[in-house]
Amino acid sequence: MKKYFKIPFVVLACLLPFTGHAKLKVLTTTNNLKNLVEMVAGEKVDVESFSKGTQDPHYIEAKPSYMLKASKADLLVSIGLELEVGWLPLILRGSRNPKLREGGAGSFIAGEYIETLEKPSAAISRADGDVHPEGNPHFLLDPLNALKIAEKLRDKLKKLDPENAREYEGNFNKFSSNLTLKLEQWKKRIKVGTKVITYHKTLTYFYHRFGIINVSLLEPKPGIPPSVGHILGVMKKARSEGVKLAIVENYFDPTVAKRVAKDVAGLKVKIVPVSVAGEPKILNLFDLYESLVSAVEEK
Amino acid sequence: MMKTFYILLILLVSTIAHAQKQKSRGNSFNPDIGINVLFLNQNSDRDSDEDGVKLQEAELQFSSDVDAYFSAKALFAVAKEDGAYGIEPEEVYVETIAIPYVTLMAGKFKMALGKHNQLHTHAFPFINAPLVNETILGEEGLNETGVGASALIPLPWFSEVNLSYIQGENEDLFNSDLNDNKAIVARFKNLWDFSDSTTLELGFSGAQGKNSDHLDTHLYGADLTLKWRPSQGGKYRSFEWGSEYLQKDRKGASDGKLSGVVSHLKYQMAQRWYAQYRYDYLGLNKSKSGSPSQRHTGLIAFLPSEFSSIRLQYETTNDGQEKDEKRLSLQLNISIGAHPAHAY
Repeated sequence: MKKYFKIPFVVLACLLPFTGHAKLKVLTTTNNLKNLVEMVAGEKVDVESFSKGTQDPHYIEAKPSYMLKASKADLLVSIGLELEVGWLPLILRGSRNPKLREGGAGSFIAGEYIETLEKPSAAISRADGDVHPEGNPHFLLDPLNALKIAEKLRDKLKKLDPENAREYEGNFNKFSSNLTLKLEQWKKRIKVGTKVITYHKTLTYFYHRFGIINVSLLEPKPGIPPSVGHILGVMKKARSEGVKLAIVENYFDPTVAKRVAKDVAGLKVKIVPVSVAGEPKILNLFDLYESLVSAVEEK
Repeated sequence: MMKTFYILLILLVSTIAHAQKQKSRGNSFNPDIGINVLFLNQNSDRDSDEDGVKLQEAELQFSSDVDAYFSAKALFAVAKEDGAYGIEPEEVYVETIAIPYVTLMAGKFKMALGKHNQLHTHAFPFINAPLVNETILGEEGLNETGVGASALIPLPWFSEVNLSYIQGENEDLFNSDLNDNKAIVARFKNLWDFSDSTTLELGFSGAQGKNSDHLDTHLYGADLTLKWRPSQGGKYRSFEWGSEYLQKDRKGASDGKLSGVVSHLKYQMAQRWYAQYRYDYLGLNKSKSGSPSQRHTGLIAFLPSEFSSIRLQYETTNDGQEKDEKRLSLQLNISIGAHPAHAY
């Protein structure tokens, strides 16, 4: 008898999460966006990212389980600029959650607030590789862009969840002052005009902020794996320009960079995470910027 | 029928031309246009009719939101049939985008009967369709006109039901000449994430309708797919194992009962290289139409980019005849223009 007595309580306990004021459910397409939401929202929302820190966000698979998550979400935070064009539309379609669609109450596209770099001015063609017609989508690697997006996220969260508006305001202010302070320190550590070579155009915004010169890319064109002829060209350039550092984003194959380093005297290869959780010790955007700064700074 | 589509095409081309002349802002509302082209060269040691180089198929794809409530997609396939090129609507449908929880569809679309039947030719894992699909559902697959609804079931894992109510036109299965004879197709799809890298999908499908003898045709299907792509280094390695079972029970014809399985392995060796193997078996429950068929297929694929691929396929088919049929095929597959994302 006692056993049956318990059942109503168990049922009640199961229903509890559905009553009262539920936390906002936020989904982001990348881990960097996820951390930005965490910075602004703190404990007030549940947030999850589709891509993992070790994955190339261009090529995420539209797993049906993501559709299930999106079906229950209140807010979808994406990069835009066609970064997610190969997978996000399918997730949105399968989610059957109209408010997440572009223009809906639960849609936030960060790229809309950014002055993009490398926006092609002339006509583009697929022969140029994976070119983004609206500009380079890796803008969160510039701390000031992260700040700009955090501000817009604050406004969006306040609108969706006015009850916690003060919390969002406070968190943002804290994030803003911490980041501004840190940025000044990071800037002092990097010599303006430092020359590097990189695998993909992932770090454009980071280089732009800190005055780093990207001499050459290991990819001949965005998304195209390096050919022998191209690598020889990169080596020649690295030698003549006196480049001492090759940076490879950690979701690309580092063997090419290592081969180049073998033949160019004084060239060091550093494999860097370009996303929060891209390495186990990178827990937030501060860790990420710190690790990029320390990879580039001269010691 | 054919004429209508030529007229449609001419109209479409003329509207594009017109829009270009204007160079107005209206251009931004043109549908996304994409074209997939498949070139094929094949040689068989038995059936030489199909030998040589040909334009296997060109698919013209248009898609766009209609308004705040609907989106639409139209896909026309151009291929040679009986010695002349023809254009046919492969899919033309409208679906809802503003209703929560369910998607409603209307038009002509590929039926959710099993996994392979929903793929366009350019997305086939092998150059040709599995024997079960080709034999039971026909060369074009089960691709009918009607209405459909699909929804997620509130379970802890991904679980989706898909129902279609159609005017059967499939020659063998649902070709009743009575217009009020409709058919239904249903699919129940589940997917579990074992980890960030591995998923397992299990689906069950069924269909029922009247055939040209005014008797029932039943179809049953089951499919199981295991996919692995590591979350670290996933650009360079992946693995897939997919199997599908299909059975038909067509009352009124001598060869009414037929079933078979297909199972394939797909291994990604490097960023742009894949090795694949497929096994087909048709005639599981001893169809009266003859001896069972077995086929082994091997394939190597090179993908210069996500918009092109070159595939070499070798297959041997044992269909009860004295000598097995051997066939070698080489296919070039390209995609230009807007290309909607492929389903997982």
